[in-house]
Amino acid sequence: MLRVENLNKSYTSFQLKNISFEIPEGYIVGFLGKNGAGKTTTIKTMLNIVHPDNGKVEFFGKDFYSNETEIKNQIGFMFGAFDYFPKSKIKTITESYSSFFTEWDDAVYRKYLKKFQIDENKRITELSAGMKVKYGVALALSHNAKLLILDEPTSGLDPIARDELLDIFQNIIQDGKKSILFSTHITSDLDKCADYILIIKDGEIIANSTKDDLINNHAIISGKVEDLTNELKDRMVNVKISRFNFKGLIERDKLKNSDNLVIEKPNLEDIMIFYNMEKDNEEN
Amino acid sequence: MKKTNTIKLFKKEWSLVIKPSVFVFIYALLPLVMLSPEYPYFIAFWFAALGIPILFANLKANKDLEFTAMLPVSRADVVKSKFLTVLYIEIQQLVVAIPFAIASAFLNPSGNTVGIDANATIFASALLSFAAFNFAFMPLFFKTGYKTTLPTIVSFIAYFIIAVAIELLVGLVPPLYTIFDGYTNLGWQFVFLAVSLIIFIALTYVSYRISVKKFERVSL
Amino acid sequence: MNIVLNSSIYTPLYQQIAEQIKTQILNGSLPPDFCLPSIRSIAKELRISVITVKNAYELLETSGYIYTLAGKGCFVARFDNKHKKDEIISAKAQEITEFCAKYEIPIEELIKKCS
Repeated sequence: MLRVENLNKSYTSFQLKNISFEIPEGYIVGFLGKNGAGKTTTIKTMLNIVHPDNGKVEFFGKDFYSNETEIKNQIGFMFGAFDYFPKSKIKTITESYSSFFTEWDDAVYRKYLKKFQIDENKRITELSAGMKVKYGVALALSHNAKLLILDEPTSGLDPIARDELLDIFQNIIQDGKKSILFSTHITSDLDKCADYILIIKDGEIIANSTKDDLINNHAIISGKVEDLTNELKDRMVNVKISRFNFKGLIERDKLKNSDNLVIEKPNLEDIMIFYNMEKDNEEN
Repeated sequence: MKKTNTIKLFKKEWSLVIKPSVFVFIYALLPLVMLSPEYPYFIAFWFAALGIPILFANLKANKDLEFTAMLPVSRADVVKSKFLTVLYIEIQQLVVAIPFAIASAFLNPSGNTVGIDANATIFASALLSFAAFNFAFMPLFFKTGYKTTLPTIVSFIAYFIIAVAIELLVGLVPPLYTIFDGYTNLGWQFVFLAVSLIIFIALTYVSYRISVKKFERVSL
Repeated sequence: MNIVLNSSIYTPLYQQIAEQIKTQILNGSLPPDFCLPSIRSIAKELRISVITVKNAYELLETSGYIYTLAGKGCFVARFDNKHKKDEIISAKAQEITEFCAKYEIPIEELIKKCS
């Protein structure tokens, strides 16, 4: 559905480096990275909102940069909270927004308004942060888009609203024909419903696989500090050392039978933390 | 498809950014000053040029271009719709001024004491000044997509250079004075008006092409 | 059909799902030709990845417990239940033998402990 190849964008203090990934039909892809890692820039660059230095982006097998209008009609995207035209009424904004999409479905839109309890006579300034996110999501979901690209759609939502949204995501992919790419820095959003995980760090994709593989291919190991040899340390992704023990992340195939350690299954949070930690940060 | 997108964007401007009632009311009444026998009339048209940077500052405050980036429209469509809005404001100002100019000609047959009379020359001058304004403002704005201060300053300077130059030429050079001021040589004045209209269209089109080129490269 | 997942244990989720469906097939609560729920509906209801369920079904299919009809879904396979159970018993026996060998425990001792 979406193929991004060697996307590059340089700023004075930040750089997107050879971003490449694919999104297959029918799945939810979680785009994970800490704040400032380059999630929004990546999304904006692949949508030509930020001009890429070079690289290739294909949607539905077509080059994005030469079919921009046509492709944008078939995808839905939203950047966090809807904070455009603060003094306008939701009704007026939707009227304008919907007129641009050939497949706008007002019934679907009304359904989301009702579900999110959005009053369309309210002005944007009158909405809470969570409501602004929900309104943006409602707009992005209502024109029968084959691919949804949502930047931080869960930010500012309470746990219940987040859960509802993830439920909606899983409903959308039920027919196996639509896909969703959403970025977040909250790993628990992805623990539940994501099929694929992309992790970005300092403008580089450092993990790109199915969530199951990512989790099953890693292990959390812990043991006594004196058992932490340099050889073991080198095999690990990263390690935290305390006075009582060490705990770290390792790729499973680097684990040896002779390692006498406690082995646990990692979750996305563990993986994200250990990959983002500076190497060799020892306490004391 | 392209045309309808531009029209939709143009409509969007009026429903989301510009408060049509306020805008039409204020700007439609500004040419009233043309009824005065002691007023430089080019200022009356400058009010329209004053409204345009305010509009663009408003677009910025509403994050209009960021919103527009989410719509299935090309960047050329976006630029085209903004030009349409600007032209709409300028032409509205000119059209609304016509009855005031005619009324002024009858009310003050001896003419304007501090500038060109309310004749065809003043409209030609307005068109040329607008052309200079558009040529300065639009490409400079679309170079960044968000900076309005510099384009405003430069475009006002451009507007005034043209408007004041025409005022001075017509006011101080005797043969030009007899042809282009007053209401007697309307024939030549209309020729000047026609030429100005052509220059206005040509220069605005060039401004549009440059703006599109610049805006294609902007990162929002 | 019951599936109860434990995400904190090391066994991958897809193995847990496959194991539980397998048990229910072997104890007869999922009869032959029973139509299993679609991959996507299980994923949605259990709040897990589509891929996890897909992997579980693939595992069940390669080990012969279920079969797929294109466009219709997945069904419980018909097989000789006794034969299948024998297979499981011998696999377990082998595992136990290896375990005893590793720790040098006589099998008899283990059996004594079991009963």
